[in-house]
Amino acid sequence: MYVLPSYIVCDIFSRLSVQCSARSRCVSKVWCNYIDYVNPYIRVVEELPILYHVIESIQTGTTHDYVLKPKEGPFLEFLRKKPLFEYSYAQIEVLGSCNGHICLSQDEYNIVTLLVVVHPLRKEYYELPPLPMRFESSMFRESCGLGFDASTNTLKMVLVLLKAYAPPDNLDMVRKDLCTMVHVFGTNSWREIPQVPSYPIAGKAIFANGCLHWLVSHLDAPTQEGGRPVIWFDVEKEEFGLIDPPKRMGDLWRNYSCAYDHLVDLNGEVGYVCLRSMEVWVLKQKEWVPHCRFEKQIVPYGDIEVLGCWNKDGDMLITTIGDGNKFFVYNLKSGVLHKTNIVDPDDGCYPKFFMPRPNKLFSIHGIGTNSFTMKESRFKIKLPAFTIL
Amino acid sequence: MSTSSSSSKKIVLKSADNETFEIDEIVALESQAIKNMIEDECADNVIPLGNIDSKTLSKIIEYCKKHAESPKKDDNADIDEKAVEDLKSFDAEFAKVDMPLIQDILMAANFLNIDNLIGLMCRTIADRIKGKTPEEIRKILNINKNDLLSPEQEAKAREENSWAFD
Repeated sequence: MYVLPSYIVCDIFSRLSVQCSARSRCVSKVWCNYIDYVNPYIRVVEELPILYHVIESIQTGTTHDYVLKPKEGPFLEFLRKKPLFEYSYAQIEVLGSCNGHICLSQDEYNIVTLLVVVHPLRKEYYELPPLPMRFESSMFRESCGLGFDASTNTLKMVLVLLKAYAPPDNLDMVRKDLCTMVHVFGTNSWREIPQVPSYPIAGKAIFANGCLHWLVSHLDAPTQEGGRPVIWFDVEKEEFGLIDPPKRMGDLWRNYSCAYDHLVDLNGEVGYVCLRSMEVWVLKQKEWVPHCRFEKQIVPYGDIEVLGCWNKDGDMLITTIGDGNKFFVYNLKSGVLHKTNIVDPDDGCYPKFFMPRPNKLFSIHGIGTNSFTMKESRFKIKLPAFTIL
Repeated sequence: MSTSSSSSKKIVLKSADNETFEIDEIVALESQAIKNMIEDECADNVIPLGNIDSKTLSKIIEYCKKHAESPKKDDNADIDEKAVEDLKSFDAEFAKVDMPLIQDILMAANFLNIDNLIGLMCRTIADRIKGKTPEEIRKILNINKNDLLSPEQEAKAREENSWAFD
């Protein structure tokens, strides 16, 4: 290769994954110099693309197993607009979705630094105004939600944050520190509204029937035994409400905290997954209706996350937590769990799945991070990407 | 866009192997470097390009012609999608050349300062080496044996970036 100006070399390498650039160091002397030379530059301005893949599922002939394969190459890439701060450790997470829009956050040192909303099919990108206050990326006691106000035809982003640390056992103090910020898309600002939920919220929001739904933070839940209530927020009226957790259909068979219970979008309805009794409930007219109960033998370890509905019949895509992310499809009628084989859309990255709407499967096959230096980094650097079914 | 060749001003480019190319000024203006020369009135009738051979130069002219003819984005906000698509497929076809020529075009585009073309060539190179092993990249880019790292250096580079080889 000729001696190219450094900005051109940087241009080429910025289009490659960090992993690929790092591997390329041993291509030749010139390349090694290039990469070592541009490396500090890449660290600062590197723009990791977020790739969207369409994934299709293929049911393999004789068995009931599913195979997921990328249909085509990435059909959309978007690049971070702002250079990452040098020596930062940044991650991109999916925080929720609404009407085909996906809300993504970028965080550094566990603080969310940027919120964007993308519409992958329409190839739109929207960056929200700078956050009004500190927003913990763990979302244990703070969260956000993307909702659609049908009366004004606008998207709204709602943040429920704690202004200062308040111990969970001091509910008066917690409630005093709670604060709700609303951003209406197309405006330039956040506005604080007087309404706040009765408890801090946690985890991803589910948008259904004009309302956003969150679980109460497990640290702040009124009782540990009774499960976590649901907080709803009417996006049009900007009001909060509380729904008690579902009662139990059967015995608890796990003596867990309710920390891993979660809400899930089940074909446009709010599902409540209780991991202690392995039950799934669906919210209809603000009442819980039993949906299904997993048998002990099919999920022996019980550490699962229900990702969403797989098809119109309501079969659910389930992943195991912690145990190297295996994916299953639960057949609602037969109660049988089918194996799936999720194929990595790209090499070297691990898929992280997210289902924003019924029958749409989004996968982030890696989370973007940027490293200190390529030489020192032993951890995996992954590129963010999505897969849609 | 003017296509009549008689009325518009002409510029003559001369390649390293002394071949001359007469092109419309509007096409030459795709190159920021030539544009600057013309604006500074330091361009004679013939602009010698001593470091670009005729094969590369004719490819670059082909690119500039197409891009000069296409409506510019800032001209008008609602240019039709078809023109954009057309230009995209032209670019895709244009990039289907062998690696030595891509590198020649990239060097020349850098010299002539044609932003879009630099971007297209960088993207093409990146696409071809994406996900490839160092050995494959050497082959794709036709890297000279003399330019390889010594076995010790290579072992060290692999060790330092071992995470990338998993």
